[in-house]
Amino acid sequence: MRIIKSKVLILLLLVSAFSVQAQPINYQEQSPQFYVGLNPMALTKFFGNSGSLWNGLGFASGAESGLALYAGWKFMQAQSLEARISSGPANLLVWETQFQMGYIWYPCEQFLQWKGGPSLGVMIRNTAFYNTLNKSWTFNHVPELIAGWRFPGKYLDIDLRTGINISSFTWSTIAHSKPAFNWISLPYGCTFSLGMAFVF
Amino acid sequence: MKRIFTLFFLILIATFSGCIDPNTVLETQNQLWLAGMDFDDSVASIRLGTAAVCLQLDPDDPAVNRNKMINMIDLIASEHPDIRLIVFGEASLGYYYRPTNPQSYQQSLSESIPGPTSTALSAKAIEYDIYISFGLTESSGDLYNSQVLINPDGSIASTHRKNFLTDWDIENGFSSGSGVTFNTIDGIKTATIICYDSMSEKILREIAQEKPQLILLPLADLVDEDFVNYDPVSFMSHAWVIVANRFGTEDGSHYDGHHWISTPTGSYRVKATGKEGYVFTEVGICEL
Repeated sequence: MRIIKSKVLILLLLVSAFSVQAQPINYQEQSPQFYVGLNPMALTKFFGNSGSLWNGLGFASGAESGLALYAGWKFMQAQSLEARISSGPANLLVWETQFQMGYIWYPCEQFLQWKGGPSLGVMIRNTAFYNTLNKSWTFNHVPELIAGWRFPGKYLDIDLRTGINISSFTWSTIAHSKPAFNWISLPYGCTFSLGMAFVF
Repeated sequence: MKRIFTLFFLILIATFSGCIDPNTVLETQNQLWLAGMDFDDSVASIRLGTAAVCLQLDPDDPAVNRNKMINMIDLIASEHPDIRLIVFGEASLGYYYRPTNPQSYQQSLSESIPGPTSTALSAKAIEYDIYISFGLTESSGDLYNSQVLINPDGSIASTHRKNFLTDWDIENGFSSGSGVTFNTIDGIKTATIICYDSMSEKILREIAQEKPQLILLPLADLVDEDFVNYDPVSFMSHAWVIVANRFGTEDGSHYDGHHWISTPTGSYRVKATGKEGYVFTEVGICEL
């Protein structure tokens, strides 16, 4: 129906990411405590259907729409808590606001004293869809497993991540609706995202 | 190297920008993850027995397909005496698209309204005291992809002409209709749209303004996205939706025969796929 293959977009993003001149290095200094970042691909949703195609209908923007910001607190070496918030048009008729919280672990920081490198984690997505036609709200809660790579840079860290979204719990203000749960089929639950984070 | 990638990226943008109508409503990935929420119609004030039909169609003879519709009406009425509305799929007098001379082919199938098929089905509507909605290629000067609604007294209630045409519709020589068609069926405000109309921002806004409680949505749709757990049209419009379709292989295009009736919350109340047949349910209209 509506999902467009985004293999070319994935390839493009991967190549762009690897063109960043930053590699994991042996890391002797104390880790940064905080980071604040942006998901640039989510901004393409402000460009209507063309924008939706650029980000593969959400596949290449980590299923985030509009202005998508994230912030993290590295509370221990190699471990951080992260929060993400985004808001923007899901499509021509629906506005989407999303809040996520989760935990990220950098195993190579933990065991090899790298800076950045591979990341593993879990997030909970909480999405509110506003139907501008009928003025109704629908809420969706989705757990996500993520794996990625943080490329540390001089001023910016680049986060590439892939996620598997596992299940949905949905409820709504639509009259006479009942909350529902279902599993999300692979590969349709997979996402890809690019983040650019300032660390301090 | 950097310039090559930049150029490649710009070419991709330019290429993809022209691919889709800017007025098409697309569902994005996390919308497609929504779980289908059940609709509690236990307190419904009006109930209507409805059926959505899926037929495998003969390419050469509209009379064969007309008889198939008649036989299906007889079957549904015998199995469900409380039936009140039967919906057949889009362009049900033959193949939806033939690559060789598509416009000539559709011309050969076309009928006026009233015409042989509407007259035959009107008799059935009178016999069983039911509403019947069916699709055909209409000839009225121009060719239209039309859906006719017949009243229980045999009269033509309305003819909806498809607005939002696909590439195949254009190759078939169809002209575009204008607006959504609204009727009242047993006190239930009903809208008729056809297939790709359901992805038009303009059509969906018109539906939202009029707030029908029931939408008739005949399709000629190839494959069901069975990973989607709800029906986006009924979910967006908060109305029951009756989706009728076709089954079989038509000049290399395979229709998997998905057809369903979905609730105002988007959940599938009844759904079938994989063969000819029909699904039946009572739609329950609740005060919102």
